[in-house]
Amino acid sequence: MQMRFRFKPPSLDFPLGTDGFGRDILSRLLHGARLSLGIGLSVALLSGVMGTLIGVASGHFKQFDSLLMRCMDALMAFPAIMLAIGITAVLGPQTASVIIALSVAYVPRTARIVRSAVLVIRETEYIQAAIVAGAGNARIVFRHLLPNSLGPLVVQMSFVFSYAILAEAALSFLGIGAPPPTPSWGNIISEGRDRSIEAWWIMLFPGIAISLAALGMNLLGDGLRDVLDPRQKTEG
Amino acid sequence: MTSDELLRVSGLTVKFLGESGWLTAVEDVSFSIGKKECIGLVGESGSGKSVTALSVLNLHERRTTEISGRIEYFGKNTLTLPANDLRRLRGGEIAMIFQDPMSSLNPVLTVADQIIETLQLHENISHSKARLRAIELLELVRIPDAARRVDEYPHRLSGGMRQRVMIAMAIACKPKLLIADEPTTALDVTIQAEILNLLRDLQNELEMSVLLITHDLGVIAEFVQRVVVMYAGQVIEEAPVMRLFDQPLHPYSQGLINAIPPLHIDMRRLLSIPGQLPDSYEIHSGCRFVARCTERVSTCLNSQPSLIALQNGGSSRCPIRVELSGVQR
Repeated sequence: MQMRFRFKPPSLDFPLGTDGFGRDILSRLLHGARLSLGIGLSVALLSGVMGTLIGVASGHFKQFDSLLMRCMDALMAFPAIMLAIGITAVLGPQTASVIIALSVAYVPRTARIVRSAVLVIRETEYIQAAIVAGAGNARIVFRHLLPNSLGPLVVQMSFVFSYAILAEAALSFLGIGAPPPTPSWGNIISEGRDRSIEAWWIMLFPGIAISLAALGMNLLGDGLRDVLDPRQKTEG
Repeated sequence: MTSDELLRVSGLTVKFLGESGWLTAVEDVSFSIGKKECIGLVGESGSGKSVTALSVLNLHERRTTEISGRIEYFGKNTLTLPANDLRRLRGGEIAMIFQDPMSSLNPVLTVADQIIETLQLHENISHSKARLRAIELLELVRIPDAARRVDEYPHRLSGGMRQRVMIAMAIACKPKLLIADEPTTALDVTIQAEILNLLRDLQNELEMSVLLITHDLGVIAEFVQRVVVMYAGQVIEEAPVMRLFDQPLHPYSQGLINAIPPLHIDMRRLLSIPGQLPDSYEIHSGCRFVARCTERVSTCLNSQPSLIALQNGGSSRCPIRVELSGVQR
């Protein structure tokens, strides 16, 4: 970081140019990948776990169903990004609060998908057969219901991963994500906003990184869906 | 209960909560199963056979079902048994096989996993020993090359093979009663015969009682000693199997027997019983079969017939047929 290298366009020394403090965009981008992808992954995992718990609870133990699903409906009524902004505003701008906020925002979809998978599977004869064989609730949930609903869950998690990368960028751009100077992709874009015409490279390259990451996760999700869709492998 | 009885169902009534109130699926059903006895439960779809069978293991959803009556197994009422005892009973003492072998095995577990699971639920047995037992069981149900097949996933097995695996799982813990809910309906005829032969051999070998649920009287004639015929949620006739075929004492039983296509006569049309089951919400003032009955008289319309116990065993709900037959009450 040297002030004499401020706003240098892409060159051999700085392949993606430098920003207003003379920092190399490429190294900030690479460093930011850790944070952005880390947040994406944490959100996918956290909302996956919470969504699975809620989905199984309401799908299998029907007495919780209407209560849990009405709560999920209430959460789903807010646009995910609005909800995340609200929660981050309350928890303060830290990386952890971004992860929590986005996880909460994406739980309802995951919970609904797990619930619908569980509802279908629990009516199949092999669940009945397991009950008839004397299996208890825990065994039915962990050995029969969960492994069979894993397909849609994994697909959903890969989509949440890509939504979370986008949403994290949006939150950082709005200035309520991970606090600067932490180099998340959204932060870099946000910092380049004022000089976007002259120093176009500051916003362009992290933008490309975000698009590619989101596209990649979406393609992964599509691929996983093709592989895991039970309708395609019933008669193997 | 007498000492040679294994299971006694008395006064079983099952009601389900439907969209327009409670509907009665099974009403006042009573029968018993003796030790090592094969009983057939016959009736068309919707007559309450499966509901009765599921009640034996108390498998109905509690919140939307109302069950009354008693189902005694060795003096214990399975309808009021605590959850833990019930779990021990299921798969251990009373096992069940289902109609559709295509969907009754978990697709993500191998055959070995599923048999071992059943074994370990009821016996304190190590994984490797359970695996050996699983292979023995597959051999017992005549699956060729059992040692290799045991590691297959269900989708690699044919329907007949899967039903054999289901049977192997069901008999894994040497149950005293096997409930077979239309075990051959989804299979083609040659496989049906093999599965029935297998079931009969196993029944002799393991000295089990079998409750066979079916709508196929051909299967009944081959397999069971005593038949309970159900119609619209009620038992309408109970008879030793020979008596049922020689002298059915209810027009509905007669109709079922007539519906078996004869081999030696060229029939243009297959015989059927005209009409259909009454709606479960309907309130009956007379006999439930009256609308489809060819032998009805005026009293059939306005008095509900009760089950008439007959002197030589069995019972019937048709006073007219019983009268005509001259069988002693």
